[in-house]
Amino acid sequence: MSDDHTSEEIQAEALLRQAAAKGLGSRPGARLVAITLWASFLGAIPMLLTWLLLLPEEYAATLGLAELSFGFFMCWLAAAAPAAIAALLTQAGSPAVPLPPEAPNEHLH
Amino acid sequence: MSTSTKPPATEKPGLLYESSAKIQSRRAQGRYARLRVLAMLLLLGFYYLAPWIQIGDTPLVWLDLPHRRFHVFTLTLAPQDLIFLTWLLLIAALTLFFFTTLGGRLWCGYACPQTVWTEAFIWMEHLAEGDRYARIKLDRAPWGAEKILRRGAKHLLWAGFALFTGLSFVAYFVPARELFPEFFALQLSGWPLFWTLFYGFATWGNAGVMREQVCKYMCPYARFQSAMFDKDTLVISYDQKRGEPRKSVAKLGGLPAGDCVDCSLCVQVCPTGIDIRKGLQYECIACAACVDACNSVMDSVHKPRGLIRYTSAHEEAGQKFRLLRPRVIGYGLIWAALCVGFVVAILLRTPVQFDVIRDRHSLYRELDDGAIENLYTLKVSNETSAAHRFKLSVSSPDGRRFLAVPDSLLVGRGEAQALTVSVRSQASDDEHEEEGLHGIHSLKFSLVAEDDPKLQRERSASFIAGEAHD
Ligand code: SF4
Ligand code: SF4
Repeated sequence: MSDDHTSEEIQAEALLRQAAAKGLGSRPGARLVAITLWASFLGAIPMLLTWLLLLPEEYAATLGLAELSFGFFMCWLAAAAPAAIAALLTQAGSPAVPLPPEAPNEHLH
Repeated sequence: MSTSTKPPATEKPGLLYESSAKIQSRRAQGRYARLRVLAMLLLLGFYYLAPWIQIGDTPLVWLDLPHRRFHVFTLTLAPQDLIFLTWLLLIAALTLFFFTTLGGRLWCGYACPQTVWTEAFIWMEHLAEGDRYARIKLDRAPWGAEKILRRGAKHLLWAGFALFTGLSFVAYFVPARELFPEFFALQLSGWPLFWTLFYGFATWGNAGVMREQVCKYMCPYARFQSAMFDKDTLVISYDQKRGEPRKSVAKLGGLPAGDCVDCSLCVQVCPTGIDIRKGLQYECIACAACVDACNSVMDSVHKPRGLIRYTSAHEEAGQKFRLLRPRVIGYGLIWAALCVGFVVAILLRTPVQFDVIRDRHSLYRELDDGAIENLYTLKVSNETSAAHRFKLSVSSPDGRRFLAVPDSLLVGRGEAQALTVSVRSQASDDEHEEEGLHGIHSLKFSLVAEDDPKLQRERSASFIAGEAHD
């Protein structure tokens, strides 16, 4: 095992910093898009199922993969609106999100 | 138990803390890593094989969306069975809640598709590019034949696996035995091809590129599952009392060192990039990679294992771990009741749905032979795994005779049919009786499968035969 423990400690801290800043961690815009796409995708699945199960038999008879795919994209689009609003309102800096209390030694950094 | 995670002496720290260096997590090896691999093999094995397994001539799992039939383990669910689907979803949610209360983030660590596919992608990366140190070296190396070959091999493996995953996903909706031959004959087109590429791309993006970021920033379950935790829920935790002051801190302060040798292996193996020594964090997916890593370090420094381990808040505070507690018993009872109820309901359910609707557009018609005719729409859905010919008969409680035309119909497995049927009053031997056919009569429609009389349903409907006579 390396004796240079300070270096190990620095290495661990560097790994943590990099992990925190990696990808979406340092890109709030991309994070917003990713969250919206994923949340609305999850919402679109039960929406599609509900639509499919409640559809009267006479309309369902003409269903194919093309209609279903179109239906799914409509559901996704419909779910994207509330998902985007929720993601926007919970972004740091939004008036809906109170600022975190300042740490006692924050001014030192 | 043998673990093969080597202490970092064999590895040069290099310039890892340079901001330009890409993070390469180390693969942990040990008891929990083997458990994760086992879970991955079982779950992915099921995912890829299920569309190929047939029971009779129906796949084990086939979500036939255009026909609105869900074939799951010999069970065929139709829109009328919405209640069963809801019930299944409730059971799935309760299973998750129950096991989360009991064992913490077991789902995240071992069974979530994100974890399972990421594990498979990391395994392929390891195969093509080598271990962590080799990957760091490859990252820093200029582009040359080896780098192109290794990177190319990794992306080829990923792309092939992602494509196979996408095809297998579509095989849950389009039978695999039709889909795969079409794909290999380069005849797959339209929406099946689109969804294959879409799902394949999503798998590649989520498991190959995004990885832990999905858990950290996008997964809603990660955020609300702590609501199911109590002080006896299993969590992964670092034993502060035993580990601190860690070796480097002790050395600086001239204190006797705790058991943590500050090797940072627990940080290097962590797929979400956290330091468990700083306490429990929501990013921790409880994969136990740090447990394996730290155990191997403890073995090499001849200290007892378990500096990082599965524990509970109560156990950490020196109290006894309680397996049975009110919340677990509550979830467990509801879960068991839902499961038993579901099985009973499925056993009691008739897999033939039958409905009779009188034609709203015509009241009745008098035929040339004097018989009265009413029209009905019959809806029959056969949710069994075989086609059946059904015999239709119509009777009246007052003994009058009626004839249904047609009086039999063939319904394929998993099929629903809507059929217009004419019901006619039969000429009676009794003159007075025939004359008396007026007003509204109640009819009983009986449907029986010719090859299986247990499959039968009855419905009532009205028969209109003109104005009632006083
Ligand atoms: S801290 Fe959590 S996520 Fe990281 S390695 Fe340990 S168990 Fe896995
Ligand atoms: S907790 Fe274990 S693995 Fe982590 S730094 Fe300390 S000794 Fe190494």
